[in-house]
Amino acid sequence: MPATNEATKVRWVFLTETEAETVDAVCARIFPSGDGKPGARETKVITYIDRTVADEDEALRRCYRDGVEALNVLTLDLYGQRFAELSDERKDDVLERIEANTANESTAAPQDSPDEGLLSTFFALVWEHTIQGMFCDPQYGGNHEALGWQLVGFPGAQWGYDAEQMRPGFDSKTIPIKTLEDLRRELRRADD
Amino acid sequence: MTETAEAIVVGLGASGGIIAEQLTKAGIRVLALDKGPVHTTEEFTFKQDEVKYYSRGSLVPQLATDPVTWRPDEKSTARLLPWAAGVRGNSEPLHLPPSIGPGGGTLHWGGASWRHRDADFRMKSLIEERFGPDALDEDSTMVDWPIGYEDLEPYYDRVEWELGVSGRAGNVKGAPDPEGNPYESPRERGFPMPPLRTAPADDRFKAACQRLGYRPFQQPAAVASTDYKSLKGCEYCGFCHGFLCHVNAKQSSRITSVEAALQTGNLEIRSNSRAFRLDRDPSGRRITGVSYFDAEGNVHQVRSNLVVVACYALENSRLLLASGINANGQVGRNFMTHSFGWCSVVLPEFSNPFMAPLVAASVVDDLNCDGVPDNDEGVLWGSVLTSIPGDLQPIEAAHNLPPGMRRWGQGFKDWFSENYRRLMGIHNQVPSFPSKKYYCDLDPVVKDKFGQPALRITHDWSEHDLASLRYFEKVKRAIADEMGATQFWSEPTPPAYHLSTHEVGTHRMGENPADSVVDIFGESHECKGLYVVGGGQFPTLSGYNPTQTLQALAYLSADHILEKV
Repeated sequence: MPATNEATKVRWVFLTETEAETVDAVCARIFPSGDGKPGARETKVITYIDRTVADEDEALRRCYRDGVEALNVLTLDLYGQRFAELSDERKDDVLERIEANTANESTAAPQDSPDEGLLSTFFALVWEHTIQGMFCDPQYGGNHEALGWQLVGFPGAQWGYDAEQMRPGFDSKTIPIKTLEDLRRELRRADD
Repeated sequence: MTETAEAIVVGLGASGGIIAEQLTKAGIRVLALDKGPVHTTEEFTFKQDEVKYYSRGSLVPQLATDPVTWRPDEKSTARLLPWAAGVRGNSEPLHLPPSIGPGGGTLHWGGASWRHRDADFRMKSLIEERFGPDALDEDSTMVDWPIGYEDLEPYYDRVEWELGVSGRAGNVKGAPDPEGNPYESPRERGFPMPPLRTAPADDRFKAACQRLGYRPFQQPAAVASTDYKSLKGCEYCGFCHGFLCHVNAKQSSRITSVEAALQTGNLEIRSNSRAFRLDRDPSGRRITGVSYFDAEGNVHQVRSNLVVVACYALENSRLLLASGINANGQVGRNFMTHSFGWCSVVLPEFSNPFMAPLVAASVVDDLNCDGVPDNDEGVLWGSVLTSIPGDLQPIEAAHNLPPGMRRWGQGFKDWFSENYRRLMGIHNQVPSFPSKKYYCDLDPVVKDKFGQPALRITHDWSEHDLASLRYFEKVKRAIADEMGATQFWSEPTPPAYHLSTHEVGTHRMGENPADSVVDIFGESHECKGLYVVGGGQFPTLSGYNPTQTLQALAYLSADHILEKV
């Protein structure tokens, strides 16, 4: 994540730099990179989330705002670091606790600790949006260069499939991937 | 000045579209009110967009405008049900009432098109004959239908030939065809189109079922396999349930009935118009018109002595209740729905589940209706068993993972990228039985943004529903094993949802005005000139999908209305 400066401030429609850094770190644990195959970072899930949340209602935006804050309060409490600064192992540990709804059990000051419901709702929301950002049409800002579709062998926005392609066992990775923009371009060409 | 219409149709979905077409073709000028927008085919040229249609539910009603509440029983407090909840990261699955706008539920449906069997019209008698008079729960309100299969057969035929259904008949006038459904009740003629090409994994399902001694056949589908009337042959793009068709292969009242009605010049559609009250004469015995809100919330009143309310089982009952048309207390009673038994398998070879419609699939009907074998679990009525080999995009697929597997991290990434292309589904649906315990009424607290009361559903899954789900899970597991599946799992039982898009029964039809809401033609017992049509008329739900039956009932109603006017 680049450091904050005038150029990067305008990169995000809704998220602040810190929020983007934290959310991106969560997304990267949901769909990790590092095995030579694309994960949430390569597919630009964070861009998808930023644009999506910008268009959403106040309740959802507040869930992101408060969720990021609560997550960082929790990890500062536990480890003295913000979530994005933790080792992958510690990140996973924190997310597991949130998922099991036990995030606050070991915190020293429960009266100050964030609401458990908020953190699990926040994580569920980021999970949902990570899946969408991995596999959406690239026009939404995620699934950059259709890397998410390539990963799983989904050919994307096709007009249809023929009998040969519908044989059991057919290797769908041999079908050129199309996006909605590709379909638009084909129709424009056909009109010319 | 109050406006007058010759006839008003509220809701232009599967039923309302058919009735509007029949009336306008007979020269009646129809004003149609639909709370959704008019959709054009151009809008859907690029419909291959899972975020727009699946995640954000752009065709379906939203929580803010169409709240529905639910509680499991009368002791519990009802809470708001998430209608289109995808974007919220809600843990509950996305189960919705049908799409809105001309086309209604047929905008987003999968297109499973079934006739009920003869036995489905006599569910109560057949269960009692076989299992004894005490087989049904003491709270049961089950009744036989006031009409039989033979009454609806000509109307089923009209649905198949006027609107377009593809498939292979199993029983034309008593002559069996081993390629068709061996359990079908006799039909006058076959389907107007041959079956669809099946999705890749279906072969394996079919072969496994045959080895197990079942008699699989291809599912009848409201998806055109060839060009037919206004329908175009399917291109197997795989964006089907939840999506509108970009080539008009999927039969939708938007492009069949509504289009035909518009061509007569006798149909006026007012979209984004929300009926909120059915108006009556001072005696309350005769309909006089409909009051509605336009998009800006302005109130309009249209007078008519012929009103057809066709806006789904839930909204139909809400509208009747909100209008005070419920003298016998039967409106909203007898709520029924399907509990879906979704199972998933991972196959050894690529199944490419994103190709072809959901219904390009085979079905086992051996255990449906009264064909359910004698069993220790107490299952009284059966269900279709369907292969679901197609129409599965990656976002939806990622929501259905094997239980116990952590749904994030490297393990999840490895599993999903390896197995998405090897998935397939096996499905059955258990019809719930009508009971005093399960009903809809007006929520005493929650209102929509127009100040109208929300509908409140009181429903829980019964012991019988759960027993049926367990029974059919064993059957599906055996099929999966025979298919050589490397993994098999089921969605949680009982399901977390109480809406399936197969809600029926809430304005039951019957001959006795004391214990039903409408007669067999859909006309209100209480208020003459008011027709309340759709799945809400069903006395019982069957193991089959309800749409073709409610379409047949709509033709029946239309014929009756035209005889009277």
